[in-house]
Amino acid sequence: MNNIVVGDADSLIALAYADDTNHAKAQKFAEELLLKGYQIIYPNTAILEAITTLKRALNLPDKAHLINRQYLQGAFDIEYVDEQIQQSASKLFEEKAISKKNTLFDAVVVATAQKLGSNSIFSFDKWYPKLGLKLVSD
Amino acid sequence: MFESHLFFIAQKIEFLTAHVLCAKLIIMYRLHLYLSEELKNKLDIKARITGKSKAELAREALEVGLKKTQDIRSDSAKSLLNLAKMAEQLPFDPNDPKDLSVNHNYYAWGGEKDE
Repeated sequence: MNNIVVGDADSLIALAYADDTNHAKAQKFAEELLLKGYQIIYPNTAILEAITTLKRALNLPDKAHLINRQYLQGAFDIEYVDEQIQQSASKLFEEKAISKKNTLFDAVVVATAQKLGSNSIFSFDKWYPKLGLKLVSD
Repeated sequence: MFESHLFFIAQKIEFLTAHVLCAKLIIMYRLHLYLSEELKNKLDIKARITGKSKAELAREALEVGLKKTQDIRSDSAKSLLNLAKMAEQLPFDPNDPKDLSVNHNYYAWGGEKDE
């Protein structure tokens, strides 16, 4: 495995929303990843998901636009979802997303990690370890 | 006839001198690598369009790609820490939920909370 960590929307939300219960933890994990020289890559869908959730669902436009502005400035390392990733994610979604809490966006995170040869996920979602992936919090 | 022959020889010497100079200035290393069919096709097309050799195009792509990889690796975690610092400057409503990262699916689409 390489030194790539794939991020999910929840870690972005935790970082962009200072009042979130996971804000301090997310910062601590990012610091550790920085020290260890890890690269954190988000699928573009995770960024879209975080922005949409913050603005549309929670009416927190300042936090949503903070992420969006950072995106525009090229702050994030992004893997854009292509046919290969969507195909893998869709197969995974059919086979492993048993609970209705497991979304296709989560499957895209797994497929992105597979494509990039990573087994580490920057997320607080307990679904990933069930698929054999490691959370940076573990 | 003799003059034109001399001119030809002179040109040849100039050509060889230029190549010897190049060889002295730039040391090149041979590299064998396997390409996927898709990448090979892309390289063929690019070479035809630009008129450059495939080797030259590969060298250029490596220069750009390696630089980009190095830049990315040093910045990604740092950018997230900057995001967190900027987020702390934003005002917040104490009535807003604190479990957004854990229950973002619930807030976005409904259903059940995780914890």
